[in-house]
Amino acid sequence: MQRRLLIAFLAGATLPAYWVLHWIADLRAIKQEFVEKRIVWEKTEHRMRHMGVKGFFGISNLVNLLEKSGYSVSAGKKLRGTSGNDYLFDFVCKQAGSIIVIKGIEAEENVSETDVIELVTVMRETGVSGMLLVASPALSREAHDTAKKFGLEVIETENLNYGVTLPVPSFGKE
Amino acid sequence: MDILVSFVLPFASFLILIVNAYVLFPLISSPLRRRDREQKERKESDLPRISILLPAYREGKTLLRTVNNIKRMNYPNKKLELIIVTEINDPDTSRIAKRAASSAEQQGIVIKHVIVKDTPEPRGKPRALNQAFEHTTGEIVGVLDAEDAIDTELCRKVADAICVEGYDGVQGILDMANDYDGWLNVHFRSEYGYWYRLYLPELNASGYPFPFGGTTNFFRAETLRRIGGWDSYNLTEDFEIGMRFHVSGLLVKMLDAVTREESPTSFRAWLRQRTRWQRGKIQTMRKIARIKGCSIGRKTHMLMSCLVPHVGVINIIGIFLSSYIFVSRQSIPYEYTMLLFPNLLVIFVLAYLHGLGYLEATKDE
Repeated sequence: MQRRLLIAFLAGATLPAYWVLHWIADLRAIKQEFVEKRIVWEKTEHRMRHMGVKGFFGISNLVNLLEKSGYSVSAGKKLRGTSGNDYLFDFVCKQAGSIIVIKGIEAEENVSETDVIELVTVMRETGVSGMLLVASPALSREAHDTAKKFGLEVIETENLNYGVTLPVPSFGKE
Repeated sequence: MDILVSFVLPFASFLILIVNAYVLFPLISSPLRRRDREQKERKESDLPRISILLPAYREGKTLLRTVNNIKRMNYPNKKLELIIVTEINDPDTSRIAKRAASSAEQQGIVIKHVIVKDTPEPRGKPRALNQAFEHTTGEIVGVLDAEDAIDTELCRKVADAICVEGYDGVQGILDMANDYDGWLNVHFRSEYGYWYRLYLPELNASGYPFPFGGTTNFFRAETLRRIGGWDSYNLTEDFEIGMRFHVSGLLVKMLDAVTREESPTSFRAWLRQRTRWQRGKIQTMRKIARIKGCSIGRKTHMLMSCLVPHVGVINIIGIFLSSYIFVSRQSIPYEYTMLLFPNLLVIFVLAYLHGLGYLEATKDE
């Protein structure tokens, strides 16, 4: 609650600065409308960042259960790898020095082995203790084998958004 | 200096006050006017057929997810018709749309794939919507974006509002959920929280022209056909159609159904999107100015509505003027200072509402 209040306060306090940016957009719009006079639909690219928190696991029990198990869970968080690159995860769960990350991935058909190898590389570079890969619709057989070999927990689901009830992964603990 | 004092300051102050008063009026007045429409009983078998238009451009990956969401809505699949519209220069998305359409029959839902034909109209969403609209068979027609995360109860709420309560159009709540991406995204979420959860319901209850959002809006198909669909030459076709709803005296309802979207993750993307939106309002303003056979009152109402999204820009002018007056007040007439003082008060109120918008948008988190 305090964090939300703080963000809300900052949003209100910095509103005039946000309006200054609107000025720039307005000037561009005026230039396009009255000087250039060409109608071009500027496409907004999407990276599906909104799915991470609300749509992705929004109503699943996974995050709640992880929190009840003592993890502090942050949504949409980046971790820095040894190469200096930042990697974005849907959830980063921390408990007593161990970090577990959750990553959602989807493919038109099956998630490929290459995708899994990339994630294994990220997992190693960021030094996390475990990764849960939520794949939609499924992993290919090769991807399955690779994930198993490198200790990735995998959940396959047809729909990443709503109605997904996920089991809490063991992350190697029996 | 003389010109500033005798012309620019009074004019700017007047504009600032008028626009701000127009913006804030619904928040003050509408609770007195709001009333719920009478509801009639509806049988399950009476559910209307809903056609959902899903324009997708370079959105193959997100498209599948949204199609799955639509199929899983709490609404009989046989009463849903999904029309995916893709552009001819986007073969990847078209391939995915075609695949979704061919596999739909076994699931009971009708999915059509329409590739936009090249016409003299500018390429963009409204042209795609108009061409897709020709293929619809539903009593209700709605627009969703390919990246939307939608409420599973959305279609039931739409059906109730249009077929039971008798509204001509409905608009869902939009939420830019990725506020954790940075300062700009926090503002975007606050802005949407304020706009869709606090402001639009009051604005609608006050009888103001209703500016539809870019997604999660549904219309009675017959009404949409009668008013001529979307304006292919407007960059904010959603906003513009709201103005035509107002001219025709059509009724709109705000739905309590949240669609989660993604705000741009870079300043460049934000600027491009915002430029399009602001330009669309300017285009709409110019179009309204040319309308014939509409009362002056209604026309003014719509022109003022076009200024509402520019309220920030207008207030920035106010801040500069107020600061200037404050610094050099000895040489500026007292009455202008008094005229601009409310501007600062309004900015404070709008900043408060902006923050409140964030709290509203995140209240379930």
